[in-house]
Amino acid sequence: MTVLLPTSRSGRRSKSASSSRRDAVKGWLYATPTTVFVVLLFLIPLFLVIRMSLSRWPLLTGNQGFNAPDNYTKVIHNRFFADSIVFTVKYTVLATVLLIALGLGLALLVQESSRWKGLLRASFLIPSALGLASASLLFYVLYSPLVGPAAGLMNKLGLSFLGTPSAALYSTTFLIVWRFAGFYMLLMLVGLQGIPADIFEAARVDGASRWQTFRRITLPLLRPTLALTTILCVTGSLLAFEQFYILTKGGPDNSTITVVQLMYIVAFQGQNDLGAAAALSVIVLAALILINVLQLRAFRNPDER
Amino acid sequence: MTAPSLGTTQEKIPMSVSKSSARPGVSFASIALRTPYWIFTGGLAIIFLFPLVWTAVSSVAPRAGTSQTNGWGLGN
Repeated sequence: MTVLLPTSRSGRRSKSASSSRRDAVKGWLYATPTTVFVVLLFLIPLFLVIRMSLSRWPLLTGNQGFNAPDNYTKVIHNRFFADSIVFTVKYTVLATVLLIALGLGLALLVQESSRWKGLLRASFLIPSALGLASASLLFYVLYSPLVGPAAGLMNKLGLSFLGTPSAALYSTTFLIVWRFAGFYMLLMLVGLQGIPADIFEAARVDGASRWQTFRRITLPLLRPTLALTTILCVTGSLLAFEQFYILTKGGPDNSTITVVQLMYIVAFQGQNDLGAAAALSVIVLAALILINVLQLRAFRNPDER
Repeated sequence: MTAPSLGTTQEKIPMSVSKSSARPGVSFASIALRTPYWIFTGGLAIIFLFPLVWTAVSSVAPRAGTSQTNGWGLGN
């Protein structure tokens, strides 16, 4: 008996060791597809962009060797750099405020179910089925002073949707609000439906007004949804490209050039400098990481702080 | 004293009134109060649907310089 005990213990130990090794292998196997995707589609491209931003890399001749930090200084001294950042921030603030407010407002309007509200939900969501480039082309024709539905009125009153810098900004923002309001409404609806109805009932019994219920119950409990929508909206707006490329091409007077459009211009139009474009994209990536971290901190639950 | 148990919160007062009794949901005052809501939400729905409807109509409408110049049709 005294001889058998250590043997069985060691046998048990080796069995548990082999089972934990098997679990570890199984874990690695489960994680491998995701790891491969992250490495192939995120880490390698990120490494390439950083390397490109530190090298002289013309579009046609490829890598010409290390030249850091020339690309960064070149892109910061680009004549459109400051203007594009100011315009992108202005557009981001405008689009985010409008989309979040409208998304929440529409969700509150249609949150109960009835036939009319179902119809409204469908109406608001249908534009989200359209691609952004298709929607931009559609609005390009809608805003046209030649063939658009308001062409006669525009000519009579001398109005233009894309003719002045502010009109171009507001017209493009309108397109984005039209295209994405339904999507944000849907996200808000999911958030609203996640709030237990008992809380609203308790507030009603306690005599809370509609405004008090919204201010003290709905908004605080919607915090995670508001965080998600704000991050999505801010990130999407800072990376705006298609809508301005199709509707305004950066005009009038280079007043609607976004940061991503500047990257495109530097990389493929005129300068054909992939190194400088990569430097700009690294700067934008750093700014996005910083902004998202700040937003996540701002939206964190006060109890978690 | 604690609040009484509320049961399900989805119950609405108009739903709980029998059909034979007066229904506050269809009174004249209620319709008058609801009209601005219907106009507002209907207007919003039109704003969201107009671009798509206009595109669909324009694609089959006669227009110079397109493949559909005479009468309505699927020329485009």
